Amino acid sequence: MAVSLATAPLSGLHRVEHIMGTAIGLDVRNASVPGTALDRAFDYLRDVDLRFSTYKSDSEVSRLIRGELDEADCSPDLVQVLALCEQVRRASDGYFDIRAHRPDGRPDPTGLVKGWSLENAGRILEAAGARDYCINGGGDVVVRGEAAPGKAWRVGIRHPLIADRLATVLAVRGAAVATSGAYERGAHIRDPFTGQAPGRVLSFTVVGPSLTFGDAYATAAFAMGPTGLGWVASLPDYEGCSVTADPDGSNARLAWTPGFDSCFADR
Amino acid sequence: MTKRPLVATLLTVAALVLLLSFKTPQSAGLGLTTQNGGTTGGVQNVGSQTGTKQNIGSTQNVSGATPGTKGSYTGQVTGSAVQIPFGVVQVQVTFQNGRITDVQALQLPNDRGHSAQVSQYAAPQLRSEVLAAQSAQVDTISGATYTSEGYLQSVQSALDQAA
Repeated sequence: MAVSLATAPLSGLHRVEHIMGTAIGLDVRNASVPGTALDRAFDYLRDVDLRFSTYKSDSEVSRLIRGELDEADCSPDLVQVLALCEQVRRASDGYFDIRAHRPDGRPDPTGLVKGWSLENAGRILEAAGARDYCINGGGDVVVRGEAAPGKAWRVGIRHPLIADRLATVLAVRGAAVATSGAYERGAHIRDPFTGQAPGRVLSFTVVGPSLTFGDAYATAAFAMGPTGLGWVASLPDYEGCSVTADPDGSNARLAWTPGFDSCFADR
Repeated sequence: MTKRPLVATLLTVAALVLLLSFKTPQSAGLGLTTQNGGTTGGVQNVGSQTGTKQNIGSTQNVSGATPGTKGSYTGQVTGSAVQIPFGVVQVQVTFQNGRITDVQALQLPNDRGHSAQVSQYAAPQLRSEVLAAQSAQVDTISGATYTSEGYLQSVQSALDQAA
Protein backbone atom coordinates (compact mmCIF):
# COMPACT_ATOMS: atom_id res chain seq x y z
CA MET A 1 0.00 0.00 0.00
CA ALA A 2 2.92 2.33 0.50
CA VAL A 3 3.25 5.08 -2.02
CA SER A 4 6.41 6.84 -2.93
CA LEU A 5 6.40 10.27 -4.39
CA ALA A 6 8.78 12.51 -2.54
CA THR A 7 10.39 10.10 -0.15
CA ALA A 8 11.08 6.40 0.20
CA PRO A 9 8.11 4.11 0.77
CA LEU A 10 7.27 3.32 4.34
CA SER A 11 8.32 -0.07 5.49
CA GLY A 12 6.01 -2.28 7.47
CA LEU A 13 2.40 -3.23 7.17
CA HIS A 14 -0.80 -1.30 6.96
CA ARG A 15 -4.26 -2.63 6.50
CA VAL A 16 -7.76 -1.37 7.14
CA GLU A 17 -10.80 -3.57 7.62
CA HIS A 18 -14.42 -3.01 8.49
CA ILE A 19 -15.23 -4.47 11.85
CA MET A 20 -17.62 -3.39 14.61
CA GLY A 21 -19.42 -1.10 12.21
CA THR A 22 -16.38 1.06 11.73
CA ALA A 23 -12.99 0.97 10.11
CA ILE A 24 -10.06 -0.39 11.98
CA GLY A 25 -6.57 0.30 10.72
CA LEU A 26 -3.48 -1.56 11.83
CA ASP A 27 -0.22 0.14 10.93
CA VAL A 28 2.95 -1.67 11.94
CA ARG A 29 6.24 0.04 11.17
CA ASN A 30 8.54 -2.89 12.00
CA ALA A 31 9.47 -4.63 8.78
CA SER A 32 10.12 -7.92 10.58
CA VAL A 33 6.50 -8.42 11.59
CA PRO A 34 4.73 -10.89 9.32
CA GLY A 35 1.38 -10.18 7.70
CA THR A 36 -0.08 -13.10 9.60
CA ALA A 37 0.16 -10.98 12.75
CA LEU A 38 -2.35 -8.57 11.23
CA ASP A 39 -4.53 -11.51 10.25
CA ARG A 40 -4.58 -12.68 13.84
CA ALA A 41 -5.36 -9.24 15.20
CA PHE A 42 -8.23 -8.75 12.74
CA ASP A 43 -9.51 -12.26 13.46
CA TYR A 44 -9.55 -11.40 17.13
CA LEU A 45 -11.47 -8.18 16.53
CA ARG A 46 -14.01 -9.97 14.35
CA ASP A 47 -14.46 -12.54 17.08
CA VAL A 48 -15.03 -9.79 19.65
CA ASP A 49 -17.62 -8.27 17.34
CA LEU A 50 -19.45 -11.59 17.08
CA ARG A 51 -19.52 -12.00 20.81
CA PHE A 52 -20.10 -8.40 21.93
CA SER A 53 -22.16 -6.71 19.24
CA THR A 54 -25.57 -5.48 20.23
CA TYR A 55 -26.53 -5.69 16.56
CA LYS A 56 -26.17 -9.44 16.53
CA SER A 57 -29.13 -10.90 18.33
CA ASP A 58 -27.32 -14.10 19.27
CA SER A 59 -24.23 -12.42 20.68
CA GLU A 60 -23.38 -12.93 24.30
CA VAL A 61 -23.97 -9.25 25.03
CA SER A 62 -27.36 -9.33 23.32
CA ARG A 63 -28.35 -12.27 25.49
CA LEU A 64 -27.09 -10.44 28.57
CA ILE A 65 -29.10 -7.36 27.66
CA ARG A 66 -32.24 -9.42 27.09
CA GLY A 67 -31.79 -11.02 30.48
CA GLU A 68 -31.26 -14.48 29.05
CA LEU A 69 -27.79 -14.56 30.53
CA ASP A 70 -26.89 -13.73 34.11
CA GLU A 71 -23.81 -11.67 34.71
CA ALA A 72 -22.48 -14.52 36.82
CA ASP A 73 -22.63 -16.83 33.81
CA CYS A 74 -20.84 -14.58 31.36
CA SER A 75 -17.59 -15.54 29.68
CA PRO A 76 -14.39 -14.45 31.42
CA ASP A 77 -13.90 -11.73 28.80
CA LEU A 78 -17.34 -10.28 29.38
CA VAL A 79 -16.94 -10.53 33.13
CA GLN A 80 -13.73 -8.56 32.78
CA VAL A 81 -15.37 -5.95 30.55
CA LEU A 82 -18.26 -5.50 32.96
CA ALA A 83 -15.83 -5.10 35.85
CA LEU A 84 -13.90 -2.46 33.90
CA CYS A 85 -17.16 -0.64 33.14
CA GLU A 86 -17.99 -0.60 36.83
CA GLN A 87 -14.52 0.71 37.61
CA VAL A 88 -14.98 3.60 35.20
CA ARG A 89 -18.50 4.28 36.45
CA ARG A 90 -17.16 4.77 39.94
CA ALA A 91 -14.20 6.82 38.80
CA SER A 92 -16.50 9.08 36.80
CA ASP A 93 -19.14 9.56 39.49
CA GLY A 94 -21.62 7.77 37.31
CA TYR A 95 -21.07 9.72 34.12
CA PHE A 96 -19.95 6.55 32.39
CA ASP A 97 -22.81 4.22 33.17
CA ILE A 98 -23.57 1.23 31.01
CA ARG A 99 -26.98 0.86 32.60
CA ALA A 100 -28.11 4.40 31.93
CA HIS A 101 -28.82 3.93 28.23
CA ARG A 102 -31.65 1.50 28.56
CA PRO A 103 -35.02 1.96 30.21
CA ASP A 104 -34.77 -1.54 31.64
CA GLY A 105 -31.42 -0.81 33.24
CA ARG A 106 -29.75 -3.81 31.65
CA PRO A 107 -26.00 -3.41 31.11
CA ASP A 108 -24.75 -2.51 27.64
CA PRO A 109 -20.93 -2.45 27.73
CA THR A 110 -20.56 -1.28 24.11
CA GLY A 111 -18.95 1.98 25.20
CA LEU A 112 -15.93 0.19 26.56
CA VAL A 113 -15.59 -2.83 24.30
CA LYS A 114 -14.02 -1.11 21.34
CA GLY A 115 -11.16 0.47 23.26
CA TRP A 116 -10.59 -2.69 25.22
CA SER A 117 -10.48 -4.89 22.14
CA LEU A 118 -8.20 -2.50 20.22
CA GLU A 119 -5.80 -2.54 23.10
CA ASN A 120 -5.86 -6.35 23.10
CA ALA A 121 -5.30 -6.35 19.35
CA GLY A 122 -2.18 -4.33 20.03
CA ARG A 123 -0.95 -7.05 22.35
CA ILE A 124 -1.42 -9.58 19.58
CA LEU A 125 0.77 -7.44 17.34
CA GLU A 126 3.35 -7.11 20.09
CA ALA A 127 3.44 -10.87 20.56
CA ALA A 128 4.46 -11.08 16.90
CA GLY A 129 7.30 -8.65 17.46
CA ALA A 130 5.63 -5.31 16.75
CA ARG A 131 7.19 -2.49 18.73
CA ASP A 132 6.23 0.49 16.62
CA TYR A 133 2.61 0.47 15.60
CA CYS A 134 -0.55 2.49 15.38
CA ILE A 135 -4.09 1.24 15.68
CA ASN A 136 -6.99 3.46 14.75
CA GLY A 137 -10.49 2.14 15.32
CA GLY A 138 -13.10 4.65 14.26
CA GLY A 139 -11.01 7.54 15.50
CA ASP A 140 -9.79 5.96 18.71
CA VAL A 141 -6.06 5.50 18.55
CA VAL A 142 -3.31 3.50 20.19
CA VAL A 143 0.29 4.18 19.28
CA ARG A 144 3.32 2.39 20.60
CA GLY A 145 6.96 3.03 19.94
CA GLU A 146 7.73 5.50 17.19
CA ALA A 147 6.49 6.33 13.73
CA ALA A 148 10.08 6.17 12.50
CA PRO A 149 13.41 6.03 14.31
CA GLY A 150 13.59 9.18 16.40
CA LYS A 151 10.17 10.37 15.30
CA ALA A 152 7.13 10.43 17.53
CA TRP A 153 3.73 9.55 16.14
CA ARG A 154 1.85 12.59 14.96
CA VAL A 155 -1.79 12.24 15.89
CA GLY A 156 -4.21 14.84 14.63
CA ILE A 157 -7.35 15.65 16.55
CA ARG A 158 -10.24 16.26 14.28
CA HIS A 159 -11.76 19.70 14.42
CA PRO A 160 -15.35 19.06 15.45
CA LEU A 161 -16.76 21.88 13.35
CA ILE A 162 -14.51 22.04 10.32
CA ALA A 163 -13.78 18.78 8.59
CA ASP A 164 -10.78 20.05 6.68
CA ARG A 165 -9.02 21.24 9.77
CA LEU A 166 -7.50 19.61 12.76
CA ALA A 167 -8.04 21.09 16.18
CA THR A 168 -4.45 20.32 17.03
CA VAL A 169 -1.67 17.82 16.43
CA LEU A 170 -0.07 15.71 19.12
CA ALA A 171 3.34 14.07 19.05
CA VAL A 172 3.32 10.99 21.24
CA ARG A 173 5.33 7.81 21.54
CA GLY A 174 3.38 5.38 23.65
CA ALA A 175 -0.17 6.56 24.20
CA ALA A 176 -3.83 6.00 23.68
CA VAL A 177 -5.73 8.91 22.16
CA ALA A 178 -9.51 8.73 22.34
CA THR A 179 -11.91 11.39 21.18
CA SER A 180 -15.61 11.66 21.90
CA GLY A 181 -17.69 14.21 20.16
CA ALA A 182 -21.05 15.18 18.86
CA TYR A 183 -19.95 15.62 15.27
CA GLU A 184 -19.99 11.94 14.57
CA ARG A 185 -23.30 10.10 14.24
CA GLY A 186 -25.08 12.98 15.83
CA ALA A 187 -25.17 13.57 19.53
CA HIS A 188 -24.89 10.02 20.72
CA ILE A 189 -23.51 10.71 24.14
CA ARG A 190 -25.92 11.94 26.71
CA ASP A 191 -25.62 13.02 30.27
CA PRO A 192 -26.93 9.98 32.17
CA PHE A 193 -28.45 12.26 34.79
CA THR A 194 -30.33 14.61 32.52
CA GLY A 195 -30.70 12.55 29.35
CA GLN A 196 -29.57 15.58 27.39
CA ALA A 197 -26.72 15.93 24.97
CA PRO A 198 -24.13 18.20 26.54
CA GLY A 199 -23.82 21.67 25.08
CA ARG A 200 -20.82 23.81 24.32
CA VAL A 201 -18.19 21.10 24.58
CA LEU A 202 -17.99 19.80 21.02
CA SER A 203 -15.39 17.13 21.49
CA PHE A 204 -13.24 15.76 24.23
CA THR A 205 -9.93 13.97 23.79
CA VAL A 206 -8.20 11.90 26.43
CA VAL A 207 -4.56 10.82 26.23
CA GLY A 208 -3.15 8.19 28.52
CA PRO A 209 -1.58 4.78 28.78
CA SER A 210 -4.67 2.64 28.11
CA LEU A 211 -7.27 2.94 25.37
CA THR A 212 -9.70 0.86 27.42
CA PHE A 213 -9.81 3.58 30.03
CA GLY A 214 -8.99 6.49 27.76
CA ASP A 215 -11.97 5.80 25.52
CA ALA A 216 -14.35 5.42 28.45
CA TYR A 217 -12.90 8.49 30.16
CA ALA A 218 -13.39 10.53 27.01
CA THR A 219 -17.02 9.42 26.90
CA ALA A 220 -17.52 10.37 30.53
CA ALA A 221 -15.69 13.69 30.25
CA PHE A 222 -17.71 14.65 27.20
CA ALA A 223 -20.92 13.86 29.06
CA MET A 224 -19.77 16.02 31.97
CA GLY A 225 -19.48 19.03 29.70
CA PRO A 226 -17.76 22.00 31.32
CA THR A 227 -16.48 20.03 34.29
CA GLY A 228 -14.94 17.25 32.21
CA LEU A 229 -11.55 18.87 31.88
CA GLY A 230 -11.17 19.34 35.60
CA TRP A 231 -12.15 15.75 36.17
CA VAL A 232 -9.62 14.38 33.70
CA ALA A 233 -6.95 16.61 35.25
CA SER A 234 -7.57 14.78 38.50
CA LEU A 235 -6.99 11.33 36.99
CA PRO A 236 -3.50 9.90 37.46
CA ASP A 237 -1.68 9.30 34.15
CA TYR A 238 -4.45 10.76 31.96
CA GLU A 239 -4.63 14.16 30.36
CA GLY A 240 -7.20 15.73 28.13
CA CYS A 241 -8.27 18.55 25.90
CA SER A 242 -11.65 19.80 24.84
CA VAL A 243 -12.95 21.84 21.98
CA THR A 244 -15.66 24.23 23.02
CA ALA A 245 -17.66 26.76 21.09
CA ASP A 246 -20.26 29.40 21.55
CA PRO A 247 -23.80 28.24 20.95
CA ASP A 248 -23.73 29.61 17.41
CA GLY A 249 -20.63 27.59 16.59
CA SER A 250 -18.26 30.51 16.71
CA ASN A 251 -15.14 30.94 18.82
CA ALA A 252 -14.09 27.32 18.83
CA ARG A 253 -11.44 26.97 21.48
CA LEU A 254 -9.05 24.34 22.60
CA ALA A 255 -8.51 23.93 26.33
CA TRP A 256 -6.35 21.35 28.02
CA THR A 257 -5.19 19.99 31.29
CA PRO A 258 -1.78 21.13 32.55
CA GLY A 259 -0.11 17.80 31.85
CA PHE A 260 -1.35 17.90 28.28
CA ASP A 261 1.27 20.50 27.40
CA SER A 262 3.85 17.84 26.68
CA CYS A 263 1.59 16.16 24.10
CA PHE A 264 1.54 18.98 21.58
CA ALA A 265 3.55 18.43 18.43
CA ASP A 266 4.39 22.08 17.91
CA ARG A 267 5.44 23.57 21.17
CA MET B 1 -20.61 -1.46 18.30
CA THR B 2 -22.81 -0.10 15.65
CA LYS B 3 -23.78 -1.64 12.41
CA ARG B 4 -23.21 0.49 9.40
CA PRO B 5 -25.39 -1.18 6.82
CA LEU B 6 -24.80 1.08 3.88
CA VAL B 7 -22.13 2.36 1.68
CA ALA B 8 -20.31 4.52 3.75
CA THR B 9 -19.33 1.85 6.01
CA LEU B 10 -16.82 4.34 7.01
CA LEU B 11 -13.15 3.86 7.40
CA THR B 12 -10.81 5.68 9.61
CA VAL B 13 -8.77 8.27 7.93
CA ALA B 14 -5.72 6.48 9.21
CA ALA B 15 -5.06 4.64 6.03
CA LEU B 16 -5.42 7.73 3.96
CA VAL B 17 -3.10 9.53 6.23
CA LEU B 18 -0.53 6.84 5.90
CA LEU B 19 -0.66 6.78 2.19
CA LEU B 20 -0.46 10.51 2.10
CA SER B 21 2.52 10.56 4.35
CA PHE B 22 5.01 10.91 1.55
CA LYS B 23 4.71 14.63 1.94
CA THR B 24 7.62 16.52 3.30
CA PRO B 25 7.19 17.94 6.75
CA GLN B 26 5.85 21.39 7.16
CA SER B 27 4.12 23.20 9.90
CA ALA B 28 0.50 22.35 10.17
CA GLY B 29 -1.90 24.86 8.76
CA LEU B 30 -4.28 24.69 11.64
CA GLY B 31 -5.31 28.26 11.80
CA LEU B 32 -4.25 28.49 15.39
CA THR B 33 -3.91 31.89 16.85
CA THR B 34 -2.82 32.86 20.29
CA GLN B 35 -5.60 35.26 20.84
CA ASN B 36 -7.67 34.68 23.87
CA GLY B 37 -11.31 34.68 22.95
CA GLY B 38 -12.22 35.96 26.35
CA THR B 39 -15.68 34.48 26.50
CA THR B 40 -16.72 32.61 29.54
CA GLY B 41 -18.10 29.13 29.57
CA GLY B 42 -16.73 25.63 29.90
CA VAL B 43 -13.15 26.57 29.49
CA GLN B 44 -13.20 29.35 32.01
CA ASN B 45 -15.11 27.34 34.55
CA VAL B 46 -12.33 24.84 34.78
CA GLY B 47 -10.15 27.58 36.10
CA SER B 48 -6.63 26.87 37.18
CA GLN B 49 -6.70 23.25 36.24
CA THR B 50 -6.49 23.93 32.54
CA GLY B 51 -3.73 25.12 30.30
CA THR B 52 -4.06 28.22 28.25
CA LYS B 53 -6.65 28.43 25.55
CA GLN B 54 -6.44 29.48 22.01
CA ASN B 55 -8.85 30.37 19.33
CA ILE B 56 -8.73 27.41 17.01
CA GLY B 57 -11.03 28.68 14.36
CA SER B 58 -14.74 28.51 14.07
CA THR B 59 -17.38 28.13 11.47
CA GLN B 60 -17.24 31.86 10.92
CA ASN B 61 -13.65 32.22 9.93
CA VAL B 62 -12.91 29.19 7.88
CA SER B 63 -10.22 29.78 5.39
CA GLY B 64 -9.65 26.17 4.49
CA ALA B 65 -6.46 24.21 4.44
CA THR B 66 -3.73 25.71 2.36
CA PRO B 67 -1.12 23.02 1.96
CA GLY B 68 2.35 23.98 0.91
CA THR B 69 3.94 22.73 -2.25
CA LYS B 70 6.66 20.12 -2.34
CA GLY B 71 7.05 17.13 -4.53
CA SER B 72 6.74 16.62 -8.19
CA TYR B 73 3.58 15.41 -9.81
CA THR B 74 1.04 17.84 -11.17
CA GLY B 75 -2.15 16.74 -12.80
CA GLN B 76 -5.29 14.75 -12.33
CA VAL B 77 -5.40 11.02 -11.84
CA THR B 78 -8.50 8.91 -11.95
CA GLY B 79 -8.59 6.18 -9.36
CA SER B 80 -9.86 2.70 -9.94
CA ALA B 81 -13.57 2.04 -9.85
CA VAL B 82 -13.90 0.07 -6.65
CA GLN B 83 -16.83 -2.26 -6.18
CA ILE B 84 -18.25 -2.20 -2.69
CA PRO B 85 -21.34 -4.03 -1.47
CA PHE B 86 -23.67 -1.18 -2.29
CA GLY B 87 -22.23 0.19 -5.47
CA VAL B 88 -19.13 1.58 -7.07
CA VAL B 89 -16.76 4.20 -5.74
CA GLN B 90 -14.38 6.06 -8.00
CA VAL B 91 -12.46 9.23 -7.31
CA GLN B 92 -10.33 11.66 -9.22
CA VAL B 93 -7.35 13.07 -7.38
CA THR B 94 -5.77 16.37 -8.36
CA PHE B 95 -2.09 16.82 -7.63
CA GLN B 96 -0.10 19.97 -7.73
CA ASN B 97 3.64 19.58 -7.30
CA GLY B 98 3.10 16.26 -5.62
CA ARG B 99 0.47 17.46 -3.19
CA ILE B 100 -3.12 16.49 -3.30
CA THR B 101 -5.14 19.61 -3.84
CA ASP B 102 -8.50 18.01 -4.50
CA VAL B 103 -10.37 14.76 -4.40
CA GLN B 104 -13.58 14.49 -6.33
CA ALA B 105 -15.90 11.55 -6.35
CA LEU B 106 -16.68 10.44 -9.90
CA GLN B 107 -18.91 7.59 -8.85
CA LEU B 108 -20.65 6.95 -5.59
CA PRO B 109 -23.31 4.39 -4.83
CA ASN B 110 -26.75 5.69 -5.61
CA ASP B 111 -28.72 2.52 -5.93
CA ARG B 112 -30.95 3.31 -3.02
CA GLY B 113 -32.21 6.48 -1.55
CA HIS B 114 -30.52 6.10 1.74
CA SER B 115 -27.25 4.99 0.19
CA ALA B 116 -27.19 8.05 -1.97
CA GLN B 117 -27.94 10.21 1.00
CA VAL B 118 -25.10 8.73 2.96
CA SER B 119 -22.77 9.14 0.00
CA GLN B 120 -23.61 12.77 -0.44
CA TYR B 121 -23.02 13.38 3.20
CA ALA B 122 -19.87 11.35 3.51
CA ALA B 123 -18.05 12.34 0.35
CA PRO B 124 -17.35 15.95 1.31
CA GLN B 125 -16.21 14.75 4.71
CA LEU B 126 -13.85 12.26 3.15
CA ARG B 127 -12.39 14.85 0.85
CA SER B 128 -11.90 17.28 3.69
CA GLU B 129 -10.23 14.70 5.84
CA VAL B 130 -7.78 13.76 3.13
CA LEU B 131 -6.81 17.38 2.72
CA ALA B 132 -6.62 18.04 6.44
CA ALA B 133 -4.49 15.00 7.08
CA GLN B 134 -2.09 15.93 4.35
CA SER B 135 -1.73 19.53 5.35
CA ALA B 136 -0.88 18.63 8.92
CA GLN B 137 1.52 15.78 8.26
CA VAL B 138 -0.09 13.44 10.71
CA ASP B 139 0.17 9.69 10.95
CA THR B 140 -3.41 9.27 12.05
CA ILE B 141 -6.41 11.24 13.27
CA SER B 142 -8.33 10.82 16.49
CA GLY B 143 -12.01 11.48 16.20
CA ALA B 144 -12.19 11.00 12.47
CA THR B 145 -14.59 8.45 11.13
CA TYR B 146 -15.68 9.42 7.69
CA THR B 147 -13.59 7.41 5.34
CA SER B 148 -15.07 4.71 3.24
CA GLU B 149 -13.12 1.71 2.18
CA GLY B 150 -14.00 2.18 -1.45
CA TYR B 151 -13.04 5.80 -1.36
CA LEU B 152 -9.76 4.90 0.21
CA GLN B 153 -8.96 2.25 -2.34
CA SER B 154 -9.76 4.52 -5.22
CA VAL B 155 -7.58 7.28 -3.80
CA GLN B 156 -4.83 4.74 -3.32
CA SER B 157 -4.96 3.63 -6.89
CA ALA B 158 -4.73 7.22 -8.04
CA LEU B 159 -1.68 7.70 -5.85
CA ASP B 160 -0.12 4.58 -7.27
CA GLN B 161 -0.55 5.93 -10.76
CA ALA B 162 0.90 9.27 -9.85
CA ALA B 163 3.91 7.71 -8.20
